[in-house]
Amino acid sequence: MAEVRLENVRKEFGGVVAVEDVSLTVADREFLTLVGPSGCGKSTTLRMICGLERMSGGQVYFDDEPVAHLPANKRDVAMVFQSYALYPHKTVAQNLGFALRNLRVPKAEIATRVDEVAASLGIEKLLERKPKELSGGQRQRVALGRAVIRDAGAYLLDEPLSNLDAQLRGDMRAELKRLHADLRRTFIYVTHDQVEAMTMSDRIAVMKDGLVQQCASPEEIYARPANLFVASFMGSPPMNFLSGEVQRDGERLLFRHDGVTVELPEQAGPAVNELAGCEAVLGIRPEDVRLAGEGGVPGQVFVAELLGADVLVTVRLGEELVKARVPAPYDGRVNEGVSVVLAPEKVHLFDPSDGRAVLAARAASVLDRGESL
Amino acid sequence: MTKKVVLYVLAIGFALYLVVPFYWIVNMSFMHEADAASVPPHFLPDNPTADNYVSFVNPSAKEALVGSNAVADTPFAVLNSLVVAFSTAVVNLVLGTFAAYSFSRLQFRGSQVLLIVYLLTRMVPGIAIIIPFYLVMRTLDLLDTYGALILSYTTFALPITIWILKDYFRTIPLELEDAARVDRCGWFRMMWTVFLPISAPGLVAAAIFSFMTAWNEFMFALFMTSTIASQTIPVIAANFATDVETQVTMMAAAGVLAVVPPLVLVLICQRLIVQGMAAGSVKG
Repeated sequence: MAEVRLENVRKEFGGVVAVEDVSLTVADREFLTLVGPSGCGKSTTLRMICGLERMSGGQVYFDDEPVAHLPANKRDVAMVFQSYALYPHKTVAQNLGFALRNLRVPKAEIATRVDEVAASLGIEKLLERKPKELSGGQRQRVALGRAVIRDAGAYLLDEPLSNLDAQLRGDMRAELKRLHADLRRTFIYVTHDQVEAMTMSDRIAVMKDGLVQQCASPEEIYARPANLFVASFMGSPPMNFLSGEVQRDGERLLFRHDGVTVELPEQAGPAVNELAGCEAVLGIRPEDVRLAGEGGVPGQVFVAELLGADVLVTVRLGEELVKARVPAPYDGRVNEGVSVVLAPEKVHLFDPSDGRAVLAARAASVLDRGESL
Repeated sequence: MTKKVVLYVLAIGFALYLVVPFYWIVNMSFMHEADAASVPPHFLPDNPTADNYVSFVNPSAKEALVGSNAVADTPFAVLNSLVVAFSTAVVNLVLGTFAAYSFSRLQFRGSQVLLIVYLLTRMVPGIAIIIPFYLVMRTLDLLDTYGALILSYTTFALPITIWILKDYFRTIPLELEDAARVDRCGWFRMMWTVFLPISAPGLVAAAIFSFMTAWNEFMFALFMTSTIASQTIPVIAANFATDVETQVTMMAAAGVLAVVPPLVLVLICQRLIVQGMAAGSVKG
C-alpha cells in the first residue's frame, strides 16, 4: 500500500524532452490514469515510477520515501505491459509465480497463491500451458495475474488493453475496475484511450508535450476541462468549437461567430470580462446542443449517424460543422433546415492565446446542478 | 510441371552430393582393405567386418601396416578434439554473450565500427598469422597444450559468435527484460532465468558454430601440437596417409569416429532450435 508522489519529474532522451515537468500525487488505493496522445510522455512517466527509466531530474516518493536511486527490481511495484511480456519459456503457472520465487516465497505458498489468482481470473485450466498456446485475452489475464499475485505498493498498467479487440476490451475494462475495488491498492494506468480513462479512473491526469494539462476526477475533467486541449481530447464524440469574439453589449457579454450569438452568463467572472473585445473559442459538448424547429441559429442537417439510443446529428452552421447528440429517433433529413440552440449555461469559453478555459459549463449534466465554478 | 521435375532432380542431386560421400566412408569403414579398392565398387561390404573399429581399442594387429601411431592415437585424438572443441564452445559462449548483449542493448560510441573490426580480423588468412601465433604460444609456454588450441580457436570463432548472438539478442523484446526487472530480478538473475533461456536457439547456433570451428581445424593444430597430449583428430587422421602405405578403411573408420560427436551434438540441439521458443511471447 503506498502513496506515490512525483515531484518535478523530468526526462530527456539525448536532448529531446519526453517529460518536461510532472508533479503528481497518487493517493493510496487510488486509480489514477495518465492519458494523452502518443508521445505525450505518459509511458515514460510510468517507466520512471517503476524504475525502468532513469530520471533526468526530480524525485519519486513511495510513501514519502525517495526511490529515484533504486533500480526497478528494488522498488515495490508490479507492472502489466502493453505487449504482456509473458516469459515464453515458462508455463502460465511459472509466469504467475516468477516474482514470488524471486522474492524467496516458500514453494507451497507460491502454489497456493498461483491457484488463487488463476481462479480469480478464470485461467485455472491454463496453468500448464505456454504463452504461445494462449489467445490474446488469456495472455492478457496472465499478464494481469502476474502483477496482482504480488503484494506490491503500486500496480502500474501500461496500455494493457490496447491489443484486445473491442468486445474483449469492454469486458476487461469492467473487470479491471472490479479488480481495483477488490484489491484496494494504488493503480496507475496509462492509456491513450479517453474512454478507458473516463470509465475506470478515480482521477485522470491528461498529458500533452510532457506536461500534465489537468489532473482531476473524470467528472471534473469532462465538465470543466482546464484548457482547449483537454476539452478536445476528452469526450466522445468530441466537443464542438467555434472561433469568434467576445463583445460587450451594455451590461451583457456576448460571444459572436458569424450568425451565432451566445449570451454569456451574468456571473461569468473577471476572466471573461478581460476577454471582452478579444477573440475567444466557444466550446459545447454535443449532448448540450439542442435541435429545434426554430428559435435558435438556423443551419442545415449535414449528416445524421445513429449511435443506438442516440443520434449524432452534424449540422452545418455557415462555414462550421456542429455536432448535436439527440435522442433517437431523429427524422431530420440531409440538407433539411434546422435550428441549433446553444444554451448559455452549457458553453465553455477558451482564451485562444494560451488555450486556457475562462468559462466552464455551469450546468454540466455529470455534475450536481447547484455546484458553482 | 517441367519446372517441378527440374527442381526435384536438382534437390535429389544435391542431397546425393551431400549424403553419398558420407555413406561411402561409413561403408568403407566396415570393409577389408582389399575390398575397398575393388572395381566395380561394392555399395555394401561383401564381408562386413568391425576389425577397423576393434583395432582402435586393440591396435597391435594393424599398427605395423600403417607405419605410424595413428591407429593407437585415434581414440585419444577424438578425446582431445572433444575437450578442445567443447572448451572453445563454452569460452566463446561466455565471452560472446557478454559482448553481444552489450552490442545489442547498449548504445556506445564506436559500437558499429568495433563490430566491423571484429569481422575484419576474420578476413586475414590463417597462414599469415600462424607464425606470430606460434611465437606467442611458445612465449606463454602453451605449445602442445589444449590451451594453445582453445585460445587460437576462440580468436577465430569469437567475432562470428558475437555477430550471431548480437543478431539473435536483438530479436528478444526489451519488454521481457523490463518485466523480469519489475518481477524483482537483478541483471544476472534476469539473464539466467529469462534472457538466456529465451536465447537458447541463438546460443545453440553459436555453440555449434564454435564447436565445429574447433573440431575441423587442421593447420593450427598441426603447428601448435607435437604429441598425442594435444593432437586433435584432423592431425591424426592425416597420419593415416604415410610414405609407407595408406590404409583407406582405417582412415574411413577414423573419419566415422570423428563425425559422431558433432553429429550427436547437432541431433540433441536440433530439438532446441526447432522449439522456436520466442514465438508467442509478446502480442501474437
